[in-house]
Amino acid sequence: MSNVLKGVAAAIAWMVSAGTAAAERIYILSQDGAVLSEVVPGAEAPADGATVALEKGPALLALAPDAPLAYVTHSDLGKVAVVDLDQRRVVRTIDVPGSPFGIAVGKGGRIFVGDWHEDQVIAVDTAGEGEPKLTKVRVGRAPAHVVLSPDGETVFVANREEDSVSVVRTSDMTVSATIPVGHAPFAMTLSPDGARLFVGNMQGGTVSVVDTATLAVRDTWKTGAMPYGAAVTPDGGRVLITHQGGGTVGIFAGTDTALATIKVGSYPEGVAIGENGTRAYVANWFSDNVSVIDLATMKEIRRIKTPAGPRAVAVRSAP
Amino acid sequence: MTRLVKSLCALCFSVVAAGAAFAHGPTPQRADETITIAAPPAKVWEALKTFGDVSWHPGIAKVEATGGNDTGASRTITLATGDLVEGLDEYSDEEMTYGYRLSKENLEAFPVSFYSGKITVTAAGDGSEVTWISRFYRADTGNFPPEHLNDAAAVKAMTEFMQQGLNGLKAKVEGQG
Repeated sequence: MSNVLKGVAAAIAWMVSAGTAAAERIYILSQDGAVLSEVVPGAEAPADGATVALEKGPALLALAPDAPLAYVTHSDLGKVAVVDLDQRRVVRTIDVPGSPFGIAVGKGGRIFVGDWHEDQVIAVDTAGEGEPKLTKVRVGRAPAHVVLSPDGETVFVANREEDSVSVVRTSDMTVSATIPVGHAPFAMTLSPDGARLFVGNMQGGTVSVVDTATLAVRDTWKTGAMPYGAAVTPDGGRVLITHQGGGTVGIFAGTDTALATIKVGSYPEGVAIGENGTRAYVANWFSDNVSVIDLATMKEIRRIKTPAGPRAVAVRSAP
Repeated sequence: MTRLVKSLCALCFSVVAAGAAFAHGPTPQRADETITIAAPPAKVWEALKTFGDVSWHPGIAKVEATGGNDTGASRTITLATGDLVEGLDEYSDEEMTYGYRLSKENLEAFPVSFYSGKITVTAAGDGSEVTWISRFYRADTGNFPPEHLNDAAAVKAMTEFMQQGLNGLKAKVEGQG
């Protein structure tokens, strides 16, 4: 192909991608492949060029609520990579002490990172130039997932080795409460209104449903073996829990047993909801793909091929 | 900081980490082993299907089990290096598969801090195929693991354990004639 033709083709590709820029995007983080993949709804693989190469062993992912940015933890490297989703490249790498694993992102570039080995959560103010300011707070043993309340005032931390959730006030980074939950809490998700926190207890095979007003467990659900990922639909009506044991995802609708349990790939982990609550995306870590679930029919309808070891999924809504 | 001081610090850190609780760390590893066996799937599954019977694995000297083949059943397997306690997470006689996980780690027995696995029999031509997959973490989940407790050591130990088991299963089933 001549250079002119190449140029024309590139221009057309750019116009096509610019023309569809308003659509929703699915972001899949592959740990072994060290890649963040961008997928459009309905696609069976990332498009050519729609991947971002990362440093070794990216673990978890969180999207900024107010900027086209993704934050990725590198537990083994002690770093957080910042990816510009529009430019599809890493624009910054932030050193975070210890083993950064769980991550949540607030407005204005304030991020909250769990340090797995030092039992602390670190608030990192990434706004502006220069070295970011770090504020640390001690939590329980082996902090896993970290989630931020919709008002940005509270961070919840699953303490895997302590069977508890730490409640951290973000204004002064102090622990305001510690809630006992089930055995080995790992993944968590908040209802869209922030009223309920759903905590997957990995060894216990349960979900602790926490009332965030009273900070007490109000219900305990029975899940499949090794719940490892959690997500809620935008209307709060469905809670999805992935099970590493058995390779399934359970769909809960407010009762203590699943409404449906759907077979997915091997060792499913992260799950995210898209298309106004009609689709769920489940990262099948061992199978190297993502299951697409139709939440109306409660069936798997497709698999998205991914680079090796997908662990986390996030959906960026259309603007 | 000089390089010597840095490596000393790394050494101190790993010693401290090794002395602390072996919480499973953030970077899982995998192993995936398959063997073909010249026998029908039902016959292979017959040798495999009792969670509390691992006489097919030459690396396991002894097993004590409770709970039969129900999820939540437990077995203690004795290796030459020590004991490991495993729990049964999923079991399907129909699909000829079961999944289990480590209940209680023992790094002296096996250099993996946490593992789970699944073993499945399927038909392949006139015979069978047995697939064994596993997900696990290195023994020292700190960021500076010594060589005998790192990712490579964990992958090597798990892969060899699975290969030894599958070869044993094949020998046992095919040897029955």
